Amino acid sequence: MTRWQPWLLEAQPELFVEMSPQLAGELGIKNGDRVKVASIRGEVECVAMVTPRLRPFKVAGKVLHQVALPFAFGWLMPKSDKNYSTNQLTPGVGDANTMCPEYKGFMVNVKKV
Amino acid sequence: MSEGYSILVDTSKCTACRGCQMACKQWNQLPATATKNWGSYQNPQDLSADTWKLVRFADGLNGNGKVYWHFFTDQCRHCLSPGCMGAAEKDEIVQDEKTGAVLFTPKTKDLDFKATLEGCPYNIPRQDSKSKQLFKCTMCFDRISNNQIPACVKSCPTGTMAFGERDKILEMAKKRVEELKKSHPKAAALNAGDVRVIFVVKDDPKKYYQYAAGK
Repeated sequence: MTRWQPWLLEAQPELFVEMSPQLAGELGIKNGDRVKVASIRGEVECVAMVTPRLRPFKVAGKVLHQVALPFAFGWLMPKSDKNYSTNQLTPGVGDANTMCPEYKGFMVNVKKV
Repeated sequence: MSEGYSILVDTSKCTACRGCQMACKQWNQLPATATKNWGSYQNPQDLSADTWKLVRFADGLNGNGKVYWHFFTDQCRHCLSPGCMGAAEKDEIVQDEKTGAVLFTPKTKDLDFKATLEGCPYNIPRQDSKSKQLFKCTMCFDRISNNQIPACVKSCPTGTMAFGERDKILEMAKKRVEELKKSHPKAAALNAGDVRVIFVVKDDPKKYYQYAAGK
């Protein structure tokens, strides 16, 4: 909805993925690099934001990485064939009782373009 | 009101919503520029002839391993003794007596831009490549001259920005710094004695932006 407004588009122009410096180091990604984020349902291309605000977890002795992508970023504006939306990655599964969709947590692969 | 007006920017309350950045663009009908994500929420990357108010983002790790994410809503400080006027000869740059607003006139196209920029401790003036005129925040001179507050102040949802008579704003800044010092010993009001746009920070100003507290 908001992507049509030029001042808003200027302030947040394209899809991005935030990741920890540790993950970026493992994948050879620098802040600002274009990367591909893929799930079993689709693939997007976006800009990597390497930031200490995201940190690796240690779960059952293993290191687990988390990345963060913004939702509902439309792909109509700006007019380009390289516009992607996180919605291309999300799972269409819901809670069995409430039918609340589980859009927010899923597995992805990240690699440098 | 010989002291003029001042603006308080309490960055401890800022959520980087960019309402101020948008309001400035809208009120002054400044064009949006084509931007790319360069690895930060900060966009456009810098002030320009078309961007007079910019929220600067800075994240990192503190010494104790905790993460910080500072937001600095950069704009012209409307100095009491403007450094930009040093390079001016006549009335290319005007300081309004009543409000204290420092204003770039269209005559700035004849000024030495480099010298004007160097005179500014906060890295603010920007030149339009076509007209060669210089541009920066006007303190919404047209609004404040008509009993309205600046557009950015009006749009701020968190109370980060306040506009009023200088002595009242200085008092607010002092009180806020005292309050913040209890949990953030480095809290300070930046250059409060020299500028009309007073930023309150709770950490080393250099962590917010290289020129946050001047050169």
